[in-house]
Parts: sequence; C-alpha cells; structure tokens
Amino acid sequence: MKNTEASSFLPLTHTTFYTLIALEHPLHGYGIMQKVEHVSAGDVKIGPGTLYSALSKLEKQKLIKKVDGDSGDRRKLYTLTGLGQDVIRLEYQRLSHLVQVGKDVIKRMEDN
Amino acid sequence: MEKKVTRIFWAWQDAEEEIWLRKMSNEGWKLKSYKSLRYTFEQITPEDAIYRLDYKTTTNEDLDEYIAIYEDAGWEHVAQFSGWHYFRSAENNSAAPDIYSDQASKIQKYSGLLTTLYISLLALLLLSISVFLNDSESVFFTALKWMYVIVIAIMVIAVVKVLIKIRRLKDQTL
Repeated sequence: MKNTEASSFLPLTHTTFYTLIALEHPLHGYGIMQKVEHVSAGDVKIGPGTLYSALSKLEKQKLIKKVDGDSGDRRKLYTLTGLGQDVIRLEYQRLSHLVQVGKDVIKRMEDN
Repeated sequence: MEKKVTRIFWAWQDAEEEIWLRKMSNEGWKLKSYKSLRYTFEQITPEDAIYRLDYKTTTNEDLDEYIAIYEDAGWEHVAQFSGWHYFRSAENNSAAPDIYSDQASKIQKYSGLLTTLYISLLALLLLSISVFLNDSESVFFTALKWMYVIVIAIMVIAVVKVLIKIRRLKDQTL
C-alpha cells in the first residue's frame, strides 16, 4: 500500500514540512531557505546545517530527488517525488484533524 | 602575517573551540586552516566573528554543494579536518546566528560524531588485544600497554561526554 509507506514518515518536524512544501517547484538549497522564510512570514529561518541534513535525509528516503540540470553549477536543484507529495497530503490531513479536535475543545472551554 | 598555535580541544569541546576562535578574531587573528591540533591564523583587522563547527558524516561527493549551502546562508568555510568543518560569519551578518535551527538536526550532528567514536574505540580495542595478551614485561611493552590504556580511557570519556550532550539536547526537545 502506497499510503502505508507514506504514513510511516509522519509526523514531520517543522523543518521537514516546510522544506517539502517549499519544493512545490524545483529549488536549490538557498532557494528553499528563502522560500521557507517567506511563506512563514519570517518566522522560520532554517540554518544551513539543518537544511543540509534535511535534504540528504529526504533524498535518501526518496521524498525528494535531484533535478538533472546544468552540471557545471555546484548548487543542485531539488524537487518532490510522488512519495513526497503523498507525505505532504497525509501530514496536511493529520494536522487538519489536530486543528479540528483542538478547535472543538477550545469552543467547549469558552462555552463553560 | 601568519601564526601557528598548537592547542588541544577534545571532540566534545566544540562549543569551547568556537568561543576561542571568536576571541582570536577579536584579537585580529582569523583562522586559515587546521590540522592535527595545529591552528594557522592570518592577521586581520580585529573583527567580531562567530565560528561554528559542523561534523559531516555523509560522503564527500557532495562537498561542493554542502559548502555552497553554507556560503549562500552567509557562512565562510575556513577550514576542514577529518569530518569537522569550520565556518565563520561576521557578527553584523544578518544570517541566522546558528547553523542548526532545530534540536533534531543538532542531535544528528552529535550522533554522527558518536558513530565515528564508537568505530574508533572498537578498532582500538581490537588492536590492543594482542598487546595485552602478550605477557612480556619489557619496558617497550609496558609503555605500549600504558599508551593503549590512556588512549582508550580518553576515547571512553569522549563517548560519555558526547552521550551526555545528546541526552541534554533530547531533554530540551519536549
């Protein structure tokens, strides 16, 4: 089952989730850092050590892959794999569920 | 002008080493290279700079890309020695103050270091077997035995110290 495989990566860390969603379109390392900072409105700044280890791990797990590009550039472009897209979808469902459950509880606390 | 300084920082003292390198920069000495306890500095106008040490365990096929990610983020790769990479950033740089932005990846750095330490310790123990099984009481063998005891003791201390570091980081995670 494809979904069972994807679900084994859950839950994702902050860094992993942001890195994956940043790769909606192919980007190189620094592009990911900038995009994450942008989509999180400056809230999340990924350090280079953290990014490098996230990229090598995600590539090994086949959630992302390198794009064949200009081999002269030492900066490599990364993109999501099908598995990576499945993982984003499942994590989104998991988070939505958490938000919904939390919302219900907060509403009840306010009603009391 | 250049100067060479010999100084020992053990594997678990990376944070202390970073502080010392920053102090050197403030005194006008910028790290140029490092090899087996020998630091080479070049003279600069005193400048407050932050140093960060990373321990890289992956193969060096992607070394160019690894360095590029750091450089793009505002860190200069100044030296490297057996898995350790020395990065330098000017204090006024707007780059993130740390090369690791979450605990998980920081823990990974020390886990990688721990693996290297375990392998070295195991190799050392295997090498020492023949020396310890030899019951010669010559000065040479006695000295050799003591040398092994000391080196193995240091390695064990290193393993314990790094394990404590990892434990502390994990305690901060929740």
